[in-house]
Amino acid sequence: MTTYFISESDLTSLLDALSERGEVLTSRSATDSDYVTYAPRKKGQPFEYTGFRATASLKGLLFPEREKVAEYPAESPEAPEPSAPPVVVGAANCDVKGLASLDAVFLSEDFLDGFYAQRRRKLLVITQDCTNPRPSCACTYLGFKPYPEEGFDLNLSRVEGGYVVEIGSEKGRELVEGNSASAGEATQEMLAERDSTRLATLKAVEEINKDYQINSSRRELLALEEIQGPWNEEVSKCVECAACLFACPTCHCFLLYDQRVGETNERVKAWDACSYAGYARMAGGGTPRAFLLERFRHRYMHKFDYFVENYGFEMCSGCGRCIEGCAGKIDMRKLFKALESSAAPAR
Amino acid sequence: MENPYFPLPAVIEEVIEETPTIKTLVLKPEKPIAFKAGQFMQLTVPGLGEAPFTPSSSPNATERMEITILRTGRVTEALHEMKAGDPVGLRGPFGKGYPLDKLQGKDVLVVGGGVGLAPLRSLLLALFEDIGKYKKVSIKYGAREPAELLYRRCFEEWDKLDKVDLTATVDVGDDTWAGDVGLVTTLLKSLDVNIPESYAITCGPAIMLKFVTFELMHQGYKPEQIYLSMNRRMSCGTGKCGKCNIGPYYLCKDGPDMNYALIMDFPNVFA
Repeated sequence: MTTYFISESDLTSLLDALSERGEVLTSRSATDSDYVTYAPRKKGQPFEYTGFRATASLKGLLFPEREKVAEYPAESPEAPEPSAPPVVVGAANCDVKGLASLDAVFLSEDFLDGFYAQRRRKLLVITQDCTNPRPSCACTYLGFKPYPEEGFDLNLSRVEGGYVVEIGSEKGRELVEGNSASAGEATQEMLAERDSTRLATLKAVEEINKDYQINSSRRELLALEEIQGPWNEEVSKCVECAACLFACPTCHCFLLYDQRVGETNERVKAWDACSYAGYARMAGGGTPRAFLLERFRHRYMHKFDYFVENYGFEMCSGCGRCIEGCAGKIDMRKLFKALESSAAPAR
Repeated sequence: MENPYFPLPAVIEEVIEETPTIKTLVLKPEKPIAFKAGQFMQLTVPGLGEAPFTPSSSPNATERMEITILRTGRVTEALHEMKAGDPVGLRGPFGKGYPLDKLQGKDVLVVGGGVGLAPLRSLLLALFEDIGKYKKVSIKYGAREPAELLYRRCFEEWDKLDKVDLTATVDVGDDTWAGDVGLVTTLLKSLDVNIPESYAITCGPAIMLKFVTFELMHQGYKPEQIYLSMNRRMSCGTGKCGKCNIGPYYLCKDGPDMNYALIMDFPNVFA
């Protein structure tokens, strides 16, 4: 596909044109910290290249924390089309990798979740290359890159005087080619500049993760049931807050609950967390994972074993939100490294 | 947009008091619901929530559905308070149901514990209606005490059916009971079935499933010949919400009746 170059001001007009589709969310540095958030974009606002993912993943846009999914009794079982911002600008590669996991679950052919599917169909994702990795960044650890190669509609790489624009979908192509804002073809120099920045970031993320590199697969390490030490070590730091799960772009467990509101009844779908003691509790009080260690381990088993079995890839984007958000400073990379180190002498 | 979470309205037509702790609700859904024996429904108490139940009625009767409920939690407590004429909601059916095709030409051993006989009743009715296809149906059932024997009114009739036998036992006997006393596993020590040509299907509390499974294996059943009704907490019914998994399997989608060979190596199977 052709790769374009667009100047900063032309990008602004292109983004302005997107407003016709509805709300446009764009990444923005927080004013009082070095975090990045998504905020509704205002007309004429230049794109702010943050070079790092936002604190919140895209999960909540497609699968809200809490959402009314039914009201009953009702004349019709049909649900109204859910609303959501149709454009996100400034997502990172780990964000699109996260969407891949959610897509696998909620768009699976056997049972399609319309609430997710309708939003997903409308969503346009404009990504950016990362240039500013943090210690929690683990994309290379998962085998991914700090810049997107698929799963986006348009990708922006900052170069001298503007952006190299890569087209990732037909929707993306129509946007660039159908827009009056002039986007010319990117020159070899521009592409070289982009590639050298990409390589530098890739090296930086690899450097961040160099002490955590393992030679076994995570799935193999999880199968070593006799190794208990690292699990006990990590779980002792877990305070069961579930920040790791809620911040995770791929975790998708939920709970349905009903409530009486005035004269009607509502059914709500809300995020849930498998680390909570009551998560799988049955009527009568029994639960399959009564101990925190069992629940803690279950999360890893789901991500790196069961999900791989069902969908063929790991349920992790390498975004590092679970590492960044953990009150107990639990880091999955350290856990796997410790599992491998404990296994080594035994082999 | 089609909504997988919307409960289809249904009305309670009759409440049958089965035991001091178990009631059967006879429901009339707004539209007939076709299900396979072993598939389950999410039954809604309006404004309170839903809970999963496998119907206990014949899968061949779609106009009315019977659901047999032990009073044990928040939703079942409310269901026990409901009366004929009260509205409820239904979603489903979900899951795969019992492997009826595999049972053809075989000796079918059905082992139930307590309210676990409820989902098995839908299987039994399906087997009885087509009994020519099966070699025999042997039913072993246990309850805590005689008053808690579910469907006791049907036992005599079932036992008399051609190719069917039923033995029941209670943990603790009383004056009204002349039958066996002991856990249901004691009934498995003298089976009159051709084990190599048999499938065992069992449903009951987790602790009972565990010891029934072990006893069946002790008697010579292979894990592939044992089906367990793993009716754990299930919410969405579509293999997404994550409540009910055992390893890579979602009981709501891949079960709730699971071949023991598939799940035996995963953690907390009998928890």
